[in-house]
Amino acid sequence: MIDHTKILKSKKRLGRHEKLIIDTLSDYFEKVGYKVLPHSRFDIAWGSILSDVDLLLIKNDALTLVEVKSSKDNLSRVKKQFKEIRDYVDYVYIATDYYPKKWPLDNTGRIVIKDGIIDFLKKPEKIEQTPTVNSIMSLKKSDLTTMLGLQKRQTNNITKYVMATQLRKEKTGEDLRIMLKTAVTCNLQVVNDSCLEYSAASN
Amino acid sequence: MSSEFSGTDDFLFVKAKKGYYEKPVGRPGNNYVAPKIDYEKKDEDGDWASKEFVTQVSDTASFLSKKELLVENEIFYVLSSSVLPNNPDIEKSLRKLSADVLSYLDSTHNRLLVIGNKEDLTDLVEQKIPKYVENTFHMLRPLNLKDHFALTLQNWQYGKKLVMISTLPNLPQEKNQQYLIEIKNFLINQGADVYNYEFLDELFVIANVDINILKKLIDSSTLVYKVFGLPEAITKKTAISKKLSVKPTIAEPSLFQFPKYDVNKLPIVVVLDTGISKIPQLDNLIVSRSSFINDNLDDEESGDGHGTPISYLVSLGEEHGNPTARIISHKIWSPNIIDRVFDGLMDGLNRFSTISKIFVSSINFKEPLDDELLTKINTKIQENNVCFISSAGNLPEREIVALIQNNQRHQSYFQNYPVASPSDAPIVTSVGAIAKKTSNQKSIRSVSNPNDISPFSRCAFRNRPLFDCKKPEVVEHGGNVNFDTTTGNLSTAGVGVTSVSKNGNVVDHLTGTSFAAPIFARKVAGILTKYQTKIKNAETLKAISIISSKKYSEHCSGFGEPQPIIGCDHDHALYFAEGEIKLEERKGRTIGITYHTIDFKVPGTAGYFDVCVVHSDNFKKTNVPSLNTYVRIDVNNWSTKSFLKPKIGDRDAKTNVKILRYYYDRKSMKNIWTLRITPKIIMSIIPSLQKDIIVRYGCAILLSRKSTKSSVYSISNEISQMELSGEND
Repeated sequence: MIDHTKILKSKKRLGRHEKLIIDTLSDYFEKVGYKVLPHSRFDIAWGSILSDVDLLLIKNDALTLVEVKSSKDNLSRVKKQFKEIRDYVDYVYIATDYYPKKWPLDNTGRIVIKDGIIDFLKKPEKIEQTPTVNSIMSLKKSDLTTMLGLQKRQTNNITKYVMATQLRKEKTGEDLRIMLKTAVTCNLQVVNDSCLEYSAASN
Repeated sequence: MSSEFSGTDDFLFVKAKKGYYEKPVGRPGNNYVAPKIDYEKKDEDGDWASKEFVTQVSDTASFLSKKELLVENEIFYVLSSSVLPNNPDIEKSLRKLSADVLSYLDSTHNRLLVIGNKEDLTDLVEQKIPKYVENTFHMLRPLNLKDHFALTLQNWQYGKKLVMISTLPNLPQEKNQQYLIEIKNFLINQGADVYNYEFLDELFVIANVDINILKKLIDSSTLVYKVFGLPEAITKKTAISKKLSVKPTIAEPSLFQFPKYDVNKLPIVVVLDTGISKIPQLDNLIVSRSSFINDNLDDEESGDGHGTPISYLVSLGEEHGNPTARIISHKIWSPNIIDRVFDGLMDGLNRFSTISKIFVSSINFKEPLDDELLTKINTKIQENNVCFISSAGNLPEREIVALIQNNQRHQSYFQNYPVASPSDAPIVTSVGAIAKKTSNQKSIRSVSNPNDISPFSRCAFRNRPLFDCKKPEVVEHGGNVNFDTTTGNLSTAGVGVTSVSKNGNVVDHLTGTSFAAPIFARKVAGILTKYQTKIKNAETLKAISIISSKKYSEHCSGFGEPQPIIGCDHDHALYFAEGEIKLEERKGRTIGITYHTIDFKVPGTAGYFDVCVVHSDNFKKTNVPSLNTYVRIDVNNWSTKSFLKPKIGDRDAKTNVKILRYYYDRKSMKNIWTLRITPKIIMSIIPSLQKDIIVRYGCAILLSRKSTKSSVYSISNEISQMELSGEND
């Protein structure tokens, strides 16, 4: 069970155009029964740009990410962002305020908000592929230690790469995806420092 | 247009009070012999029942021992009982078999699908089967291929099909998920195409699969309960396309105006249809557009469209008036994809029930839906507490022509054309069509007179009546049909429903129950717009709508044509109440009966009052879309403790929509009255299942004056004066 209260807040500043889209979608998704978390951040050991998510939706433990690109933004950047983040979520939507001539990805959902109407142009496909070693390595080492069921001292001399490959060997793709989702939302049993930091701040 | 329900007096909310009493259970005399039920053979039983009962049990155990079980010893089988469903021996025998009822498989509750324990079944054979178990059941058998495949798939012998696969009904949620995942994994490993749907994953596995793979799965495991094909559906716009130039002359539809509200505060109505095109008339009124079937959100129906004029009618009505609703369009049908309506409906109900209380769909299935699928729709609507409005369906044009040419009066042929699914689900509000306009040309005869049932509208249940329930429940303007006596052609020009086409043009030739359903939806939305969160139950919305109905004919028009009702005039007052009541429950040698009472004041100038109670129940353990419960209505005043019998209507009628009228022939009605609602079971069931049944209801009480000049005050005003003076308290 993903506890949404543990999810980190983003510190990134939001553009005016993006905010309008995010607010409209937040209101809509909340009414249709999702737990809505605008401006969130995944607990990953990257720079904040990639770990920040515009809108995160939770329903029945499924994580849906909405990546917002206003007409002022560059839609082609979504491809890279999607590649980096797809292993941590179940569904991805791209939301814009215009009808692009060409959409960058086929398997994401597509939303256009124009003239006050939310058009769901395409349903997102469920992401089911086994997480890559890179995605696993991007988690905090303390998370990987927990996922392997080891103590901190046991992994002092092991690299994250070794731990990630070990996890890929040991776990099924589905289990690994669940673990990754749990880790990036600070829901692993052993909470790492950054998740604690946030908890302290929010208290 | 009468304005009796468009006055400024608000409805009066009454809080229902709970009551409870116990009564002893009558004990059978010494010579009492419990009645026996004859065994009714079904196709899927084969010759199983002709075996000795002990052989049936051992054969079932041995058959199931060949299957791989997901949960150790967990098996499923069918029982046919030889005693009445409430006979205590059934529960005693089930305990002996360590079995629990998952679902009743027939409307008389004599056939049970149970979940049991394999070891206990084997042990039972090795020990000795008690006599009371043998006397309680005619038959015990495993599920076979006939049980596993829906009727439409019984002849499927080779090749792939897109199917919905369901697990055993009423399994606990987590277990159900586990079974569904196992089915998916098996099919994926066998190379079948398995599809994921965010909002359907809890219900079915949808897959394109070869029959042999399915048979392999069914033979080797107990994961699958039933395999369904995807039922085809049609938009029920009548196919009458020849537009003769005829001007309407008589009886324009109502020009009632709803008040103007802030658009952002309007309730949302979900239109499950053919999509909606962006037209300027609906600016600011569309919340979202989505599609279950393809990436085109526009209205794909040819000509004037279907979803767009329907959405227009929901929000702005035929009178092009003030909006009463905002629209969510969820597309479930296109001319190229006609077989995804069932899963589209379920998806829409799952997706939007937190945002909307009113759903409307004017798409009907070509053939009656399989009982289990219809039950699933019924259950989902009840669980979600939404008002689901569906068109009753239309007769095909060629049949209308043939009937007219055979000189049949159109009222006479309706009984042969029952309402189309999903309109035949007990909880769905089925809307039939009446005509409002007629032609004035001599050579062109309009088939129906104004306010008569339209020549294409359907009525009644398929197969058998559902106790005292009516279908359609209401009628709305759905257009007329003109018959050119010289050419034999049919046309609808000038006598249809007025709306706006998908191109934004005003059109007045739309005919079909498709367009009657949204007109009713608009009236329901009008109530919700005004009373917002004061109304919690979908049943209350329906009760208020129906109590205002005007009945023009006894024939096929249900409770009649509802009026737009948002407040009352000088000569009417409306109370409403709602709640949930537990069904009576046996406790040892007594039966505990829970009921609700509603107290309301009737001033002396009121001549009579009408009561409308709409209810539904949460009983899920049945595969048959039937009425499981009804409510008994008792009415008395505070002066005389005896109950007053209704002058019109039957207080014990077995229906989910009950209308009763009360008045004294000579005495004044002035008093405080109490209305008592007591839920009852229709077909008896096992007592342990009965205790979990909760009946949800909505009640409307409409007070009317016999004479319109009997007071300078409105009835609502007189009621408040009674309260101020403490009169009758």
